[in-house]
Amino acid sequence: MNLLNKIKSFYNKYTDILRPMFVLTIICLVTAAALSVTNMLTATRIENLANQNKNREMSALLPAQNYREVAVSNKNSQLFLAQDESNFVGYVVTASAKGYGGDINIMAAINPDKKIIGVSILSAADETPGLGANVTKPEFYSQFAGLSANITAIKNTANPANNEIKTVTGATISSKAVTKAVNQALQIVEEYEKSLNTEGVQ
Amino acid sequence: MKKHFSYLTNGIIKENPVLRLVLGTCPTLAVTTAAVNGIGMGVAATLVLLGSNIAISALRKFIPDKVRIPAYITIIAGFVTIVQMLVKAFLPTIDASLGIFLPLIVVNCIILGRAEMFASKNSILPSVLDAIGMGIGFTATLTLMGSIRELIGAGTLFGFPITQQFISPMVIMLLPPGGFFVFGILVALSNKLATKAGKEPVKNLGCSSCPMASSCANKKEAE
Repeated sequence: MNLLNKIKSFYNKYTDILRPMFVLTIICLVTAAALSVTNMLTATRIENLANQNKNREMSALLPAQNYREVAVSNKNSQLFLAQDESNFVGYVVTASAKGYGGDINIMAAINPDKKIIGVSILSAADETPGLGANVTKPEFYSQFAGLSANITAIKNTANPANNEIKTVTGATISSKAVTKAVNQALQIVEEYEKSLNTEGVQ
Repeated sequence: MKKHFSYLTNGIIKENPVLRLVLGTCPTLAVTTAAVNGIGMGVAATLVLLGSNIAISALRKFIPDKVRIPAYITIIAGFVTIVQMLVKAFLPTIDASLGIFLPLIVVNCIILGRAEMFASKNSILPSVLDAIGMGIGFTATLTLMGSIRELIGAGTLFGFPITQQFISPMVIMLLPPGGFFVFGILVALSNKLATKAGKEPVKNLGCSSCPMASSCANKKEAE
């Protein structure tokens, strides 16, 4: 009992310091607990939705019966071979590059001749709404269709040349990031084909 | 009853968060490049403000004065993150349209400002009314600013072409300078109207006008 009294008197003496400490600790613990519970409840659902989204984008870009994933050296990218029956119809590649506020993730469909069939923006969540986020509009990303390798993004060009695209006004960084990711996707396909040739397998 | 009504209407004109209290300037300048963004940001901020005002007001007797700012920040950031995860998991369509605004709200000082200035001193019902009023004021101002910038900068309004055909759009209005320009003009206009109505114009935008001033170590007294 003596000890309890001692603790009590100690707490009363320093209550000005101890109470805020306890309260803040409790608030942080409760918040952290609430966050981890919510994360546990939502994480798989969010991932499933993202996958569903990816599959939908994939079949919109390059319709095929099945997509077979093959390993690539770049950890942030995925490469799929799209096949109809036994015919190879093209590649679907995901790639990312650093935009204005964070990573921009793209998906590109590339035909066997290594020309781009189409590009779609999977996420550009950290780009400024109204400026950088405009790269998610078809007016911008449809420019990539038909191009191949070493694409450059040019400001204010009236008629882009062969491997050029026009940047979104006021969003040069975001436009260049998308272009970089698309070039990366092309390079992944290039490397994959090279590795096939050296191994001698088709 | 009349008092409660004034809690609700205060935020709309008399204490408009953007133009009269000069809070939330950062998201205001950043997202008002289109009218529809103003609505998106406004609605998302209103929902978070409602939740945080309720939480802060319910905990106001429990939180000691000395640590209230870190406590508010923890509660608000936690609340926003939870809302973000829930929206992502269960309302993907809303996530597609409002998702990009949610992370911006963590740094929206209207939320912290109202927690400090109002919710920490009032019970739950007035805090709810205050959140709704402030939310309406914020949404309306952002939509107005977005409309002006979109109309002049892109020649469209809510995405529909208006003056695009006969006036060449002035892109600078969509860029940061245009944001400051429209913001400055709107504050000047609201000051003019306030003075006409016999109210004090917003003059002092220095350190001491910040809602956090009383607890800020770096506060410099306004000249």
